[in-house]
Amino acid sequence: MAFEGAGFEHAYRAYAGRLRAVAYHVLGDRAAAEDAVQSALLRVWSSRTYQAERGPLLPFLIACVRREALDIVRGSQRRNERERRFAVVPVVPDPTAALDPIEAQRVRAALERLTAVQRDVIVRAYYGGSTLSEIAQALDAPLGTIKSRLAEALRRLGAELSGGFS
Amino acid sequence: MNEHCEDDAELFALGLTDPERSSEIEAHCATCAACRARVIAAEATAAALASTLPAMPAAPAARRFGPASNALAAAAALVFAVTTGIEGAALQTTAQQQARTDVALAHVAASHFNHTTLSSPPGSAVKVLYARDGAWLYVIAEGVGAGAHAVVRQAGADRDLGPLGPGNPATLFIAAPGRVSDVMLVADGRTVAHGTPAY
Repeated sequence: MAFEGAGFEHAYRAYAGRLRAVAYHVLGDRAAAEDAVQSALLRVWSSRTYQAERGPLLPFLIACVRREALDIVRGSQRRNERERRFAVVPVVPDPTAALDPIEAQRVRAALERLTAVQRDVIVRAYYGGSTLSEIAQALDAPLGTIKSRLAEALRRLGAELSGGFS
Repeated sequence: MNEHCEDDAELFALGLTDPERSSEIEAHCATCAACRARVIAAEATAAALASTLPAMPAAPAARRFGPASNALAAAAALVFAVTTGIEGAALQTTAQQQARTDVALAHVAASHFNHTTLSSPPGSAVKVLYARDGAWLYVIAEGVGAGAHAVVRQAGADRDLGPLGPGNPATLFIAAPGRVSDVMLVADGRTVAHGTPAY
């Protein structure tokens, strides 16, 4: 069990900053972000779903926290706040302000290598916090098209980050 | 749920599947190595995107104990309510104390545990929470003053676990202490609180 004893303590201390940044990006509120991180961790711990073969712990937890935060947004009046916050056209954040400036610069460069269409859909979904339906509406495209375009864009970004597309 | 995840693997990693679909994907990935690998790869890319985000703004110097709107906060409320009787109180803690509390609470929330009130001087309240399997022990003391050490007795021998942290209530979380017969707080060479856990 990966979460027993000191392992959990280490993971929490090492990752809390990253997880809070993810939740805060979605929620824009410190208390709500802290709440989302704790809820997500509690869910993982109490359900004991994580095993080593599920992959590296940090990306797994980041995904859990983002889902938790987005679920909070979808299910509450925070949606109005979010729509206000995300009303402007989203952009990739300035890498010098990132938690990990070097990795951020590498990710930004990889995003630049995507097609404009792929980059746009990732920026809207990730940095803009738009739902798939919102993106479909904004781009006047069928929902299914947006889903497959975004999935393909993320795979392509992953390939760029891990050394390029053959 | 035997259908492969297909594009939903990437959408799941980005948090764009609804909770029901997310549960299906987790369940499917428990048994399907191909989809699991695809989700893991997508989560790695999503984590790379997360690394471009700025940190959450710094906390104010003192902060209130977190909102009581989730189960972990409920565990926190339980811990402090059984200990000090100030249920739902706004406890001022430093960020460091908060981090220590968070670690302890996550253990508490994930375990079967008991709690015992220690006998202690009037005006003080000392509680010990402990995992039934001896995996951790959490001492919470209000009004005992600074510098008290937690001491446990195991197989007739006393073991000093170290001083309680700063603040009031003062706390000490110990991982893997094993089961103990007695818990004491000792200050200035004098036992100021004593209790006997019942596993």
